[in-house]
Amino acid sequence: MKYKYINKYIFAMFALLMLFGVYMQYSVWESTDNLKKEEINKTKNYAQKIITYIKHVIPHNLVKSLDENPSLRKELNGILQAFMTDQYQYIFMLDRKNNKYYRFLLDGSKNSPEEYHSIFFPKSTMYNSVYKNQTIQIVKQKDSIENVWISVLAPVVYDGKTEALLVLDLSKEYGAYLESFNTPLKNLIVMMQIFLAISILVLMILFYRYYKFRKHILVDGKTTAYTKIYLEEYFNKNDLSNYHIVMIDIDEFRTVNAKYGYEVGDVVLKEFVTCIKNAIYNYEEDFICRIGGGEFLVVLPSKKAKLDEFVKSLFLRLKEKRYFIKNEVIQINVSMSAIKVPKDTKNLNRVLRVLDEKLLEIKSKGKGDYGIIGKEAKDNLKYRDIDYIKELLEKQSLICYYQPIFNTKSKAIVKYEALVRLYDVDEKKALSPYLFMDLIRGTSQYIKMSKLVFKDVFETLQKYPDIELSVNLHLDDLYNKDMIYMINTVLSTHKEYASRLTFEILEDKEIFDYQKVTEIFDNLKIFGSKIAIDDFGSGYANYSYLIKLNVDVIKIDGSIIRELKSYTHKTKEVIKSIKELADSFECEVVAEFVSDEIIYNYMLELDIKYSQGFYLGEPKPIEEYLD
Amino acid sequence: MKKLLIIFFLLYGQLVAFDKKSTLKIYDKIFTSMFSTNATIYIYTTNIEYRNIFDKSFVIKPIKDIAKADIAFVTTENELKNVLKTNPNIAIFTTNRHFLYNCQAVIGAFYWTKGRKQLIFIKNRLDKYHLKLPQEYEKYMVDEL
Repeated sequence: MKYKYINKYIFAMFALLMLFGVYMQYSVWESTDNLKKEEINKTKNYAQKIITYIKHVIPHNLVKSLDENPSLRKELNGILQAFMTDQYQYIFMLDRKNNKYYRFLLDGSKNSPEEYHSIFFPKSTMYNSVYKNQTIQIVKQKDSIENVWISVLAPVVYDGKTEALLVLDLSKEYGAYLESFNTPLKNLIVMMQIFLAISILVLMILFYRYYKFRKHILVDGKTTAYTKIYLEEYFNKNDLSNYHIVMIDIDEFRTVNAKYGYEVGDVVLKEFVTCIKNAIYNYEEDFICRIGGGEFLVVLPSKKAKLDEFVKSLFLRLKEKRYFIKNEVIQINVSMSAIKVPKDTKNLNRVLRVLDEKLLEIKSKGKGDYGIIGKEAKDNLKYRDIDYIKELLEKQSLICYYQPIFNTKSKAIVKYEALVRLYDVDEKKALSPYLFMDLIRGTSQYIKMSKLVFKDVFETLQKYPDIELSVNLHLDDLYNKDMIYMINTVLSTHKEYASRLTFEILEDKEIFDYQKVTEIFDNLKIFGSKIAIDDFGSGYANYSYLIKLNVDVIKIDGSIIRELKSYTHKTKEVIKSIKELADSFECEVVAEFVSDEIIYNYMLELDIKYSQGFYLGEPKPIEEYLD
Repeated sequence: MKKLLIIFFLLYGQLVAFDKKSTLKIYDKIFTSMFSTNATIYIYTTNIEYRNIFDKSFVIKPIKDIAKADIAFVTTENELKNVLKTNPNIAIFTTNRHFLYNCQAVIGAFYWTKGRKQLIFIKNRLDKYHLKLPQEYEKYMVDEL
């Protein structure tokens, strides 16, 4: 029985119930024992009373007086008889003349009392001890003594010398009576113990069912790999950052199921897991989890395993593995992503998401490969989390960088494009939009961020009245009434801003309601603002935009500009055609991604009026360009 | 019910058998100690109950011929009288305390008093019959009554 499937609290419950049962039993024993002790003490006092009485009758020379006076013996025998109650089997007195044998002095028995001075051999050595030490003692009698439970031996002392022993035998019947005195309580305890035993039995059955259930939910029955629930439980108890995690996905596993059937698919999966287990069992604390149909995770302790070596060897092992099914040899390909979980990482789901993204990247490149997430892992894990981004936006921890757009020929700055950055105050680091933009796009957080960007843009326009700015406007912004209301309000209040502002419409989403978008843009143009198509040539409906929207600027996408170095001639032709198109629509053209002198020179050659890129100017706080 | 009765009688039979066995064990020990011999000890007794018990022994043998007996075993006054009449020189062992006190031919007794077993031998009477007891029986021997 593995401890993973056992709940320690159930064990604690078992222990408590059993302790309770034992305690109840002990209480009854103790109660009965105390009762017996009390009765024995009473008997001791009773013996003292008898001795006091005898001493009262015979103040001196007990043995001599009894030897000489048979009528006195008879009288005292009668007195002992009077002291006999139901609880006593025998009361008698012995002496031991000359330290030889014990002989009867007195006997309180009604029927056939012992003759005076007849010999008595006690089996217990306690008689001698009491004779010598002159203290009352108890002798618990053995079964060989008939009808006697306990004997109380009391010394009869005259002038410091033991003259006789008074023996009070408590009857077995009385012992049994005391034993049975607590019978109602004992019966109650027995009933409670039966109830406890039944409870324990029921608990054991439940425990067994719980064990089976836990095993069922923690271990995948088909492959014997653990389930995701086990993974989550494991990392609730263990520090995630002490481990490497490898995600394995069987490429096109559904084709195995489709071609050979699900039963064969299950056999393949089982063999697949066995193959992984053989690879990982060199390490300690490592295990494998099934998180999807053909998707698995391997968890390895980072101290014991070198991730690069392990992933490579596992990948080769799985690639080379052959499955013999129905007289056929099957080979399956896998894609793998792996991560050395960075320090202080707590969220398992983030790690899995990053692994999943890496796996998708590998699959999109053609599958059957592996990738290890390197240094970017920490950033990905920290920033690619909607809660963290939300927290930054709540704190308004957002800054705008401004990248200058130059006149290509004169290299004079004509305007600046506002580019959003979130700011990690702890690490004093500006976060690029690629880390968070796709996380928040389509959510209320995006609108919140856009409003903060526009706020910054308007403040910059106010602060620097001689500059022009360009700002991105996503379709989500356009469809948000609050957003448009805010822009319109500012522009109608500060009409001087409008003519210095260009709205760049992003092309990553298709416009379905051109009428509405046209209305918004026309309104902005009435204020005097310009409309630009951002990333022209990369996304949706480039030409539709040109046709349906009244555009002022075309910004050629960086991916096209980049190709100038590889496919110079063809790219030049494309750029020329865009320029011609722009000229015919009376639009200005801006080339993005002018990252070095070579590309800049191409822009000069192609007579592209405006250029933007790292070669000319990096995105920076506006103050760095203007103050 | 029938089954219960059978079980009861079987158990009762077992208890009686056990009691007889333990009694025989005691007497086996007493008589073998007294005679210190490996040969069979012949005991004269007319008590049927004790005869049945002694019959089970490997070391003592109950007989009815007092002339061949090593020792006489008496439990009642009539038995005592009969022994004294037929063989006044034979050593007698009894289960009655009073015979020990009142008859000089009785060398020892095994009886119950105050619920306790009592085994007593009288030294000078043992000497008279040239009987010796091992050291471990010294504590049961008295010089006088």
